[in-house]
Amino acid sequence: MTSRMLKYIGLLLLISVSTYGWAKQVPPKPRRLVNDYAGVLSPSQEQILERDLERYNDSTSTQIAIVLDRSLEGDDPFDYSYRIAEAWGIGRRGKDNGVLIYVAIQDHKIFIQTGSNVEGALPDAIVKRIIENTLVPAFRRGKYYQGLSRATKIIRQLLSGEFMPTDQTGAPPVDFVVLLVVLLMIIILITIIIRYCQKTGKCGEGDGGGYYRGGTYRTGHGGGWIIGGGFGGGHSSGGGFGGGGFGGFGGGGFSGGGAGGSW
Amino acid sequence: MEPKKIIIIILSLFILLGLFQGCGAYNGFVKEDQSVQETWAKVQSAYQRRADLIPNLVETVKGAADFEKSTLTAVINARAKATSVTVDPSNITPEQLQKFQQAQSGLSQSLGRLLVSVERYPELKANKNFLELQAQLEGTENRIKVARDKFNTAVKQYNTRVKSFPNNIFAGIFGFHSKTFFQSAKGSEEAPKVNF
Repeated sequence: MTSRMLKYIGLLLLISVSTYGWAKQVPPKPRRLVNDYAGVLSPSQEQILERDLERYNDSTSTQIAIVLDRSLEGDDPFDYSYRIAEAWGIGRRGKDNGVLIYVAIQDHKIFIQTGSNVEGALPDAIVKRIIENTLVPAFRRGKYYQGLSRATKIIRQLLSGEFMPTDQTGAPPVDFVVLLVVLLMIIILITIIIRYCQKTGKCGEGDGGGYYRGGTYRTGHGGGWIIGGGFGGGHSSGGGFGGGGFGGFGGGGFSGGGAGGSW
Repeated sequence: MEPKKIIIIILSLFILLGLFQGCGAYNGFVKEDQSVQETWAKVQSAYQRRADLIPNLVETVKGAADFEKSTLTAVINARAKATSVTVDPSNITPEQLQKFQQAQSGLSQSLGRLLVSVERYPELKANKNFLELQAQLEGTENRIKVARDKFNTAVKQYNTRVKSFPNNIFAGIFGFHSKTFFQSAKGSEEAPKVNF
């Protein structure tokens, strides 16, 4: 038993080491599409890129995010950019229409991650072409903004008409039916018990009355508690809408599509 | 109320609770099992995608350079072997997984050898067709990696559910057994990763 368990734990360790070893930490989810951690864009360039990508997100629900990193710290460009894309959830849930352009400035590495449903319009070979023909020549001359601006324009053109703007968050139906059935069964059970009691007339007197009385006694107290607790809820809803034009990433999924390059 | 009846009511409530618990556990198993099957289907389709790229790759290599025949035939044979082994998602056994993994890693190795020998053919390395095929091949390897990780995560979740108390009791009753992870053979992962 213990040896089997040890084997199991060992296997788990092996898997976690092989996939997450020497992993660079993914930065917390930002509320922007353009994230220049390396500081190579001027504020106005960053603003223009951000504005264009936000507009594109508003009109098509497609999220194209840019991450400019200083260094990969020895991590793999694909692995790391994949982890960012998945952790941030670029794109919309269910639509999986996110694109991440990841650039590590010091390592001279690029990787473009394509969301699961973008792969059709943006196949790996096309992504590779964008990297080799647009990003690499610009980056070689240090023109990061020009490269990114042109690449995002090409991607937007390729994806035009692919996704509709309908903002569908799609709240999942939380096992409502199951809840209903359980409630119904409990009600039926109680009525059966009450019916049985009424028919035999055995359990109505004495103790039973006491329970009911106990119940009414408690409601008086309970009301007081509810009033007391009412304050907590109001606060949390206030903070939620603090962001700017970009409403945040929507939980889009990735399955490893895209291509990488270096300059 | 008579004590007898109270006991009966409490007992029936317990039975009902157990039934609910059992139903919940069963549904949980089915859901996790389904996600294991789905993720396995994605693993297989990722490998299939790679197999589909190979005829194109072989043609391009053949057409662009006077390439050594043995390397190409090794890839073709390994591909034929790899596509002949499939695992039914609803019945994944450790033996089948191992067979599948062996066939695929054989293909990975011969593919890796092919890409290494391409190094010696500069005209092939500059070939646009070949470069794009290579991008596709790399993308496919990445998809395989992601699909495999997702499958292993699904298996881990399923196993945790099946093995934890009190689910393990219900798992025994309903016949849900723990599943094996999909491991890549040592070296097979590195082989096709040749940067040009």
